[in-house]
Amino acid sequence: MFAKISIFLRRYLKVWAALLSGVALCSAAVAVPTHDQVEFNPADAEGVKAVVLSWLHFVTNPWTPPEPYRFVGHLPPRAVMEQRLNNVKNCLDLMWVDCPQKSRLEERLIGNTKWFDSIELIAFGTSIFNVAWDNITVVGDKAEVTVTSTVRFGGFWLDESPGLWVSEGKEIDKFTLVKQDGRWKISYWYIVSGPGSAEIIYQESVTKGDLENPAKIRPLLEKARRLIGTPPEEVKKYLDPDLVGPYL
Amino acid sequence: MVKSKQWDIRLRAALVALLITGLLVSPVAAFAYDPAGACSYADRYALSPNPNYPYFEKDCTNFVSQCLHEGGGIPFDTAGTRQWYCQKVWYGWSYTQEWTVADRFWQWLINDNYAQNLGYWNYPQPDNNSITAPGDVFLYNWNTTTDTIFDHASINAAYGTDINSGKIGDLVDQHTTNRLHAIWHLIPYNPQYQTTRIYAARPWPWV
Repeated sequence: MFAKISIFLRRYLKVWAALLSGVALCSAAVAVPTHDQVEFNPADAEGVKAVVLSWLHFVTNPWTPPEPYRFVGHLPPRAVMEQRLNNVKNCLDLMWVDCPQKSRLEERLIGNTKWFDSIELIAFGTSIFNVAWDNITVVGDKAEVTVTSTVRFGGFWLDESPGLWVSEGKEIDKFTLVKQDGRWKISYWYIVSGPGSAEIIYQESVTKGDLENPAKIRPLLEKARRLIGTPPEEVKKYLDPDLVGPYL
Repeated sequence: MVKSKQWDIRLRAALVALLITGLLVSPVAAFAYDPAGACSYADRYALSPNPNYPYFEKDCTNFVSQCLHEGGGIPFDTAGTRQWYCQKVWYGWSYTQEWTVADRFWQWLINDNYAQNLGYWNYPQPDNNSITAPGDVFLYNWNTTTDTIFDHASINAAYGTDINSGKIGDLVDQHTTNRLHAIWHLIPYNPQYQTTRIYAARPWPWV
């Protein structure tokens, strides 16, 4: 009787051992990388971040006048603005793969000086603050990114109720990037949420007479400049001058 | 002769019945859009959503649809390929993408001839556009440079001063970021304002 139980237990344990070793082998096979997988390179992530932040900087500043015309109460000469738009186009070539989205953007930028004929609003531009990288996945020559950024932006109203304002808002963007000729470029961009959610953090109304008075206007513009003029260093380091051109 | 008269009466009765049925099912004669009613509804529920409707994380189009239906009197559209409704059913809510998604809402509104397309404005949009009026709806494409898809919807609720920005013009009520009487172009609230295109539509008075 005892011998029978012993034989049964030995067989029972053998079956379990066989099953467990099979599971272990399968797990090992899954864990071993195949030749299709590429190791994650931290330098790639840094390159991706630079392109993404430079891109966000551009798309929120396409018609913003360059320095030294950025925080002033009048429009720059038309030639200055046209030069700026050409710079934008050159920089976009470095960040954007050749796809329909790109050509649509170029169509709007180049030769579009409608903004110039409007004396209603001069944009101060947009600065990016507090970037959170929710996801960066780099596999081979393709990267997926989700980023949450806080932005500040504003402008100078020159209409019948003149003044200036600065707002702060948050947005979430998704990107797909591909490596082309050794450079990361954007192939797809989608705004998950954000626009329409900002709140005004600084605002001043001025009279039409004050508009012409530099002593009255300069302190207000300086405050706007302090609020949005310079992004923090941790963001600025990614705004590669080669990508964002002469305007920061 | 008598038989022929009976047939004549039957024919006339059938025609009258057809006419009455036609009047009942045709939206043209049975309903009228009430812009003032839509504005009242919008003001009432801009900051505190109506508990009798579902409330979504991105609620802008659901809110404008409610304004048009509950306040403006536009009936649910449950016929055809594009349908626009939101109804409570035993298992929860039943609604269409035309009711909740901005781009689908616009296609229903314009392509099914429920509203007149009033045109669009690129940046820089003026505070006073002189075309739109309370009761009209606005559709926003944040990045007209890269796509042609509407991302947001609001309703023109009044003319006056946006107390947050000081701007004077058409004022909108909206959800997602819930706002009451914000300047219609949303420039002070939208980081992408330089690339935003705004379309406007006015529901037909006889929908």
